[in-house]
Amino acid sequence: MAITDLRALNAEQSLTFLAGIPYVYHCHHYNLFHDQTIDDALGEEEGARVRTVAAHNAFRELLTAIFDKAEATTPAERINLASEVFAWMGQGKLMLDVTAAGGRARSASLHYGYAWREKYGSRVKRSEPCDAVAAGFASAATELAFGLAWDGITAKEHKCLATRDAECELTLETATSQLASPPIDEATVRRYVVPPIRGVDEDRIAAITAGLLEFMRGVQGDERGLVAAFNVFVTAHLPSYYNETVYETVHRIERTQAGSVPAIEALMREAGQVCVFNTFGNVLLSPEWEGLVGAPTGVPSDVMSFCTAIARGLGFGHWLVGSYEPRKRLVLRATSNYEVPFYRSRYGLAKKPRSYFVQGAALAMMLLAETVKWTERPQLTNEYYIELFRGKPRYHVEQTQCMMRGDAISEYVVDAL
Amino acid sequence: MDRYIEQAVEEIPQLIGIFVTAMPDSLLFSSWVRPGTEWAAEDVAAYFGDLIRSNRQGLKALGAWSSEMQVTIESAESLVVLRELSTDFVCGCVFERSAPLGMVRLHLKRLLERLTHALPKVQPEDRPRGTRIMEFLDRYAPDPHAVALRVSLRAGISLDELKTPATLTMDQIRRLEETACKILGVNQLSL
Amino acid sequence: MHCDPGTSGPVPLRLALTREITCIRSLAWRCDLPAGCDLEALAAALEASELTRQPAVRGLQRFASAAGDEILVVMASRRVQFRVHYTIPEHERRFAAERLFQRVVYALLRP
Repeated sequence: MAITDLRALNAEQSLTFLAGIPYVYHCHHYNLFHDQTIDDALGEEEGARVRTVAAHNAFRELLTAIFDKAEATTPAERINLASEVFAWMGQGKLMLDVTAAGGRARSASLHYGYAWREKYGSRVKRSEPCDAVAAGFASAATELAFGLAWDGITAKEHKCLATRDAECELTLETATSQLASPPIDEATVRRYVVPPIRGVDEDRIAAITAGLLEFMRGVQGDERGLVAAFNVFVTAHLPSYYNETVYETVHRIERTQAGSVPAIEALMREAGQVCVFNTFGNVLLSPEWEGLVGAPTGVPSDVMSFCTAIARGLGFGHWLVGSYEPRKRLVLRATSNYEVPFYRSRYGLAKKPRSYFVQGAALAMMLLAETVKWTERPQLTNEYYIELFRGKPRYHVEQTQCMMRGDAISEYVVDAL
Repeated sequence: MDRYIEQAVEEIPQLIGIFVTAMPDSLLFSSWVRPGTEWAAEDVAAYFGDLIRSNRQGLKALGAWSSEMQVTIESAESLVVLRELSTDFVCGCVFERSAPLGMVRLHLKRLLERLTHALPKVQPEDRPRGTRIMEFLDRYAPDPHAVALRVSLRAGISLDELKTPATLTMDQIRRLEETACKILGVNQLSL
Repeated sequence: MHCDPGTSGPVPLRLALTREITCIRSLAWRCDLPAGCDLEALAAALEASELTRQPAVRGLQRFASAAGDEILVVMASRRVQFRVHYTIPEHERRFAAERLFQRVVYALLRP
């Protein structure tokens, strides 16, 4: 069974699934910033542990579903298929040399290590490996290949491209098993979406989304298991990974270091800005977009519609423009997103709005629509990012409704200051 | 000072820019760039100042430092020459890559003499370490847009306190410095 | 020649290679073809020069070299993007882009 046959789309909610497990697309800028924030909050050692555990849990869910659907039963079949899936997702080509007692894994092209070296390698010297996602994947794949219990194997990376090693290398060992969490699958997701509603410019957004989804169907890892598209490294990634890392970290900071809550929430929002600026921006300036939709016009309401379509095309959920007054106010809504099902089923109702990612994304959409001179071929560099988002704030975002809190819909209001 | 620079550049057609950096804080003191050149003078001056400081420390470690030392960088598009004018000022000159080296040296000698005479005698202010650490992070942190948030989270110093780094306590400065080293991947800060 | 700006005599072909958005440093480059270029003929010439046509979204033509570099042509705007493979070291990317650019120029100048 081809991996591509395992994909499914909930078109009306713009949610994508692989073997019934949700997946989304995120670029290396977002992925690296996200992981960096976890480490900033928890420190390198604990950050790596939380990220590895989250990746393990997320890939355990995915691989269980894939092995079941593909009827892969032997260890060899399962290890092969798992590696193939990991590479298809753009996470890298990982060679697993494992038994039921553990073993080792290595790669010259893991998404995180490779992209970190590309983005930061010439500016910062890193001393800790950065491929917790690969470590979590490797342990989950090994456990499932050999029929071991949840958390029966731990994996740790000890050589990494980001720390200037020639290859990434991981060691896998047996561990004490823990209880499994229930999976966040398609059925769970269905419980936490509400019927889609139409927003401003809905027909055009829906048409562009369809074209983008079609394009994304062709996106998959190359011979190194990486995806270079839209001038960024792209991954098909598991929302459970992002969600577990974000919310476990934020909850812990709330319990132990209350004074730092504003900082971590701001950084989580910043991750949304990083995503929109880099991924959405590069999509808008790509030849693919120009072929599909046309060159960006620079009209703010166009940019707003285009960004909404891109969010849907990447599997972020049914985002819609509630209303938009250029230079004044944006009301962005969502009837589904990839955070709500995880939060509600893992933690119950939230006490306050918690869609940090979309909050940051909404703010960035406003800035992209209002400030970037799209017709002048802007260069989406780090310097330009700083120019746009630093300095005197021009807009303020507030999440006024949140499905994690039990509201009927999620709503994000961006106002000019 | 600007008047001296403008007079000096009239004689050197292949000069693209001059940056005078005040040390030890690597702050722009004065500059000139050829019209049509879009460089951020503050940034360039800061990097040049830091480069000279690192160079000085490296040479001292080798026991080979002298106040006459000069750094020459030949890149694909330009020739950069850095020189300490005094203990308080560094001058960086950027020439077109095609400029003959002999001519560059000749012009440079005259130019530096004129600038040295025009420089004021300064009593460097001992600026608070917290301020200098935050400025250093601003220049070198990989994500400068997020650096205050990152420092706040890692060091447990509130965002409000970080807005006035000059007033941080000794313990906060220690944590700030440790965090800066971690973010930059270095063992110590060259301030 | 596949480029005819619509004048009677031979007109020099002026193309400039410039760097595109640089999220991954120096990976994407572009040139803009003048009006009158026969894009179908260009595509055929690129295929004849050992580039392989790749699936692409509508309105776009995409060709890949054996090394994984790509040339993309937007049919409506005549924008050409050169994508150097990410494994090429940064300092060599410009030269790799120039080689791809040359292919387009040769393809346009083919009799």
